[in-house]
Amino acid sequence: MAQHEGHVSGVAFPPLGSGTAWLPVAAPARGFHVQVSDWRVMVHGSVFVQFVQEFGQRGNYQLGGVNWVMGDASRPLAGGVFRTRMMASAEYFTLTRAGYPQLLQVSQPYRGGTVTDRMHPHELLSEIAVMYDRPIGDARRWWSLYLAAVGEPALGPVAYLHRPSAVNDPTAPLGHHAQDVTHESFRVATLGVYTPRIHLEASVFNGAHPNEVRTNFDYAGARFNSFSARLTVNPTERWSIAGSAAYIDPREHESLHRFEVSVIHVTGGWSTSFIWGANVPTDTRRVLNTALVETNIDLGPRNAVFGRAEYVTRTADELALVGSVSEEVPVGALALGYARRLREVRGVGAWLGARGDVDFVPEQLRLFYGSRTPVGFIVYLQLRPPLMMRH
Amino acid sequence: MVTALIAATVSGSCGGPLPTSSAATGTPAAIAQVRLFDEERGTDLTVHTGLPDDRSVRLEVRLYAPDGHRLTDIVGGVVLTLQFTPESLATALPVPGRPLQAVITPTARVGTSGSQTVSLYFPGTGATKSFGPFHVQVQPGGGGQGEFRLFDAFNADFTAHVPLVSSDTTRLEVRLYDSTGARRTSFPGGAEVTFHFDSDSLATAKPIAGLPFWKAVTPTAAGGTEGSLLVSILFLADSTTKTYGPIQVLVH
Repeated sequence: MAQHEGHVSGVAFPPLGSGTAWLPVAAPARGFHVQVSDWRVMVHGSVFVQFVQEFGQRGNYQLGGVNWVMGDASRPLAGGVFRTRMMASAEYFTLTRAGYPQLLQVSQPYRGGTVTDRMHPHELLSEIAVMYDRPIGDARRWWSLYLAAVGEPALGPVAYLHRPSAVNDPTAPLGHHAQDVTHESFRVATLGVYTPRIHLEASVFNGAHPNEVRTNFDYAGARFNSFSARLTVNPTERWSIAGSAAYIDPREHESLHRFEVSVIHVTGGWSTSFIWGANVPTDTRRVLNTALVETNIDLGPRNAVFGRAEYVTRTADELALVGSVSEEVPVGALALGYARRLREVRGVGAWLGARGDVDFVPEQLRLFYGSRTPVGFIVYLQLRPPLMMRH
Repeated sequence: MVTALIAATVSGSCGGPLPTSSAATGTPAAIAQVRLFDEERGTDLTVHTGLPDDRSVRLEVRLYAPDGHRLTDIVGGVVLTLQFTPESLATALPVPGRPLQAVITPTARVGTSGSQTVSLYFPGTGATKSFGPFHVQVQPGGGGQGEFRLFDAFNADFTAHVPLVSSDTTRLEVRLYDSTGARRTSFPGGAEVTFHFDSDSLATAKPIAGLPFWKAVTPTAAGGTEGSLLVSILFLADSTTKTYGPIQVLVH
């Protein structure tokens, strides 16, 4: 099986997932790799063409596309490794400014109003970053610097887009805004130190969530107003355990603290993630918990099953229901899916998949969702690059 | 088929209409949610109603069905009552002819926080519904006045009143000013100007290429029709929106 090239293999690169977050060393890596002179260039991504149907009074349907592409180029420099990264998404155009239907997702500004039960599209350019890693003495201890015009601070798990446990799932977790939403922050600086098994890092970043116009750079008023720190331990090739904490000034509302613990496990073709994340607004000091378990099992090279179970404490504000429901509302979701590879052309696999989900809402939300168990489904065609082999 | 699917997606997704795009008549039973707005500025006060200590706020209560559609007319009528906690926080007076609006005047000191509850009474059925509490705080006033003005192509000031001529198109320009009175002509990231007419059939406003703060307004109602105009400006840099109006509109 292909693996990330990490310290275990004696190669300089750490097992990066998204930003500076680590995956297990055994995590499968997908993409294309070429060597151009001293530059090692990797390109990977994922393109879903999907039909989403969410049922119930707040449901909707859409034919659209979730997609992203990432380029990574690295080369030796001054005794270390220099790396540049760029990630882009066309979702602003393929999902529209309002995003895709997803019941219970956090409401968002939309053309002067508010749109609910939809997941926002990603930024056109969601990562533009440079990194420099250099050994400290021997090659078993390194320091690293990550600077991003837009990128991911040392906070939260590997973003869901890059988790092997979500490779077949085009849908964002309901807990996204308490777990990995900072993966497209404008202005990030991260300093870290690591050994083959331990990674300690700290970030300063701009805590404002990007605005609804996803094609611009949200630098107006953007300051280094937020801070985070993360400790990651990879005890074996199959495990990655991380914990992080942050103070975030989102600018558009009250500041908050965010805490997160994640455990990612990979064995053979089976990847599983356990994630707990919580927002704690500094004014109320109430802990708004989210928890997630997601898994992906490859049943050979052509078939895969996947699933996700979530618990989320939603605020009435997040549901745009202030004054109409309790200030905090617990909700849950369970999703199961199946994907089958139709064909592969020059390494790019075309996968046909389907995902069904059921949400669980308390009685007070029945009025708005038409049921205590609203349901939905997605059918999709996914194009994605092949597994990369160890070099 | 694969190519067709990808082409359809790349060319722009298609889906069901958003609840924000329509309004309707409903029964009292259909009201599941209310949201609070500053009627003059268009700002959403649902999560936090800041009351300036030097002026009153005209609060508008907007009603919504469970699916998020706005209900602009309620069968049998509706009467609004606002209750403040503590009672000394503010007073609310009804607006004649506007059953879902109230003029709120703070009566507590700056910094005082509390809440308000919205009660709706339906004369047709005798039923009532309550929503809230909604957070309220008395804040220092000042600023924000006179930052918006509306002109036509001949530099006539239409800020208070927009006269339109049947079958004729009028070009209107939105001008914004800072607190010193200096005109603001550049906005980081740009801005999007939207005109909303009440009623919708009153007039249409079309963009003018290369002039983002201008609109070509053509009346679509008969001469003598009266209505109002709200101007919303979305500042793209931080996605904030300011709304000005209502401005009286009369078709001649």
